[in-house]
Amino acid sequence: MGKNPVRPPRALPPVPSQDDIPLSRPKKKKPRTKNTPASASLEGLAQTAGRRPSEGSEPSTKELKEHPEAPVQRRQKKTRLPLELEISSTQNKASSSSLLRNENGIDAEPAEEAVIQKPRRKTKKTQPAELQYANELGVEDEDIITDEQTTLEQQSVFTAPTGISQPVGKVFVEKSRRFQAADRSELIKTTENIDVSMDMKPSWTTRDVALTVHRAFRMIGLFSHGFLAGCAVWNIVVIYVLAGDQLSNLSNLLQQYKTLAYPFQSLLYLLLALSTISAFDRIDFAKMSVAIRNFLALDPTTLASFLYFTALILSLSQQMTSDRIHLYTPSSVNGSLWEAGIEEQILQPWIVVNLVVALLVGLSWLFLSYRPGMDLSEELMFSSEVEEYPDKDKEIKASS
Amino acid sequence: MLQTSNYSLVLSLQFLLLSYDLFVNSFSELLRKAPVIQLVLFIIQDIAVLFNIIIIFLMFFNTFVFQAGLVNLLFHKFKGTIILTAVYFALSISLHVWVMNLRWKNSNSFIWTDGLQTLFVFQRLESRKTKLCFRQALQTESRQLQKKVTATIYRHKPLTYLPTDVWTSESCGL
Repeated sequence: MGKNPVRPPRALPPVPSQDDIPLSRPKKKKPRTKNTPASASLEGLAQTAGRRPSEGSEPSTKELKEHPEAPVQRRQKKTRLPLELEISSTQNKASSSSLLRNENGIDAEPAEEAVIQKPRRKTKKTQPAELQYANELGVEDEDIITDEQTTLEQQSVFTAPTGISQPVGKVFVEKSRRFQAADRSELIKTTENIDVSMDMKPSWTTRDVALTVHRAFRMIGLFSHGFLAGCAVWNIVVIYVLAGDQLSNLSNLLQQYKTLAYPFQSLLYLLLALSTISAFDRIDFAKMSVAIRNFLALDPTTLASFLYFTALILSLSQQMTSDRIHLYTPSSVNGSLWEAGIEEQILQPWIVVNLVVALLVGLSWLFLSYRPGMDLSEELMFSSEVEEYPDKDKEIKASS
Repeated sequence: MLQTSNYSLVLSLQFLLLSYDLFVNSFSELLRKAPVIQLVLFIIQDIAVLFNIIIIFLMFFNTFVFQAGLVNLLFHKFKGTIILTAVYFALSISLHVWVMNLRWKNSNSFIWTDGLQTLFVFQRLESRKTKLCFRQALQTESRQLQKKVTATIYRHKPLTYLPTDVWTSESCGL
């Protein structure tokens, strides 16, 4: 952000979780009591830097009068006059120890952090939570070292180059791998809007793609539900017509149906697979307890998916019989799979299973067509984001 | 991150592979005039399943979550898909080997035994579940999870190594 490299590291962004606060409280007391080892070591370090802590109070009070553009500091002084000396001394210590860190690595870091975070936390607490993000773009008054004399003094002691940091009206925002200057005041006003527009940039997001595919598949599923129900009913009608009264003409059924059996079995499997997936798509599997409760409450969607699953199992279990029908030869032929009296014994359960499958499929089609638009998994998968960005969706609608 | 065009490409590729899988599962029994046809179909099907696994792992590697090192979270979420796909792959191969073994000499013979039928049913059922999970995985794969996990990182790690500016710039890639 174009700031002086000497400045103390910026404090953490405000974290909403609670566990942060109890950690920071004991730290706050440390610099005041000055009895803890951390502050003692800090003091020692500060003294080695060639500065007495008692001196520190004077330039900072002067500086306050000289630089009226530090309103936050001033407010702190007004509110806590008795603590004035201590705070200003700790602030100077912070700057000196950060200078020291340049030379010595990160010796004084933990104590220093405690010292620096203290004044900032206090300013933050007085402000409402919404302003916190905007504040991050603002100038941190502690970051700006306005005390020219002390820095010059220390430059003579330490060779590390230290410039004088001053607030610039520009903020450098990274856009497309390049930093561009933007006006600070405008940025503060429109921080949230900018965040939203950055998110919006790819107007056709992966989420939209997923949503489109999901809806397209729901259309295919809806088609396959109806087609499957029609096919199954037609199949069972054909079987009963070919079998004749009371299944009296089973050999006729076998001869006519044997070319049809296997293709129909395959088609049934394909459609059942599609329908089962599509039906299960409509339940939100993430909440299993809700799904089970819906099933017990005879919710049509849940019931339909269960019926489809049962039908799929039943239909698959008839694969062997279908193959047997497919390979039908009259029992007079040598090596036939069909012996004379066995036909009814095999065909009876096959017909019953086909009938049951047709019933199940028809029923679930009815259930699903009762509310064809209902899709719980879509709500589950995509609704959380919609809640997250209600403004974004509105803006998209408005722009289109 | 997955760009939109890449995502569409990957998604359509996945759907192509899955629909081929469904097609072979449905109609391979009809195309058994010559055993070689069935053999080729089966081999391509197994390769397709393998490709699906590879693609879904590639998609994992491309997520922000994975690059942040939270592999555990990803695998926990997509545990079902991964396990089911692996089981389906194993079942498919065993069924294919068995069927080809029995049918190689005489493609029109009646080969069904109870064990084979059970395997057949389980393989087909497994394929159903696998497809269901794949579809769900693919569609959850999008930004939703990444958002959630970024929030998690943000909450649990004190971010001492990142200046706050990173989160306001575009470089965090969300």
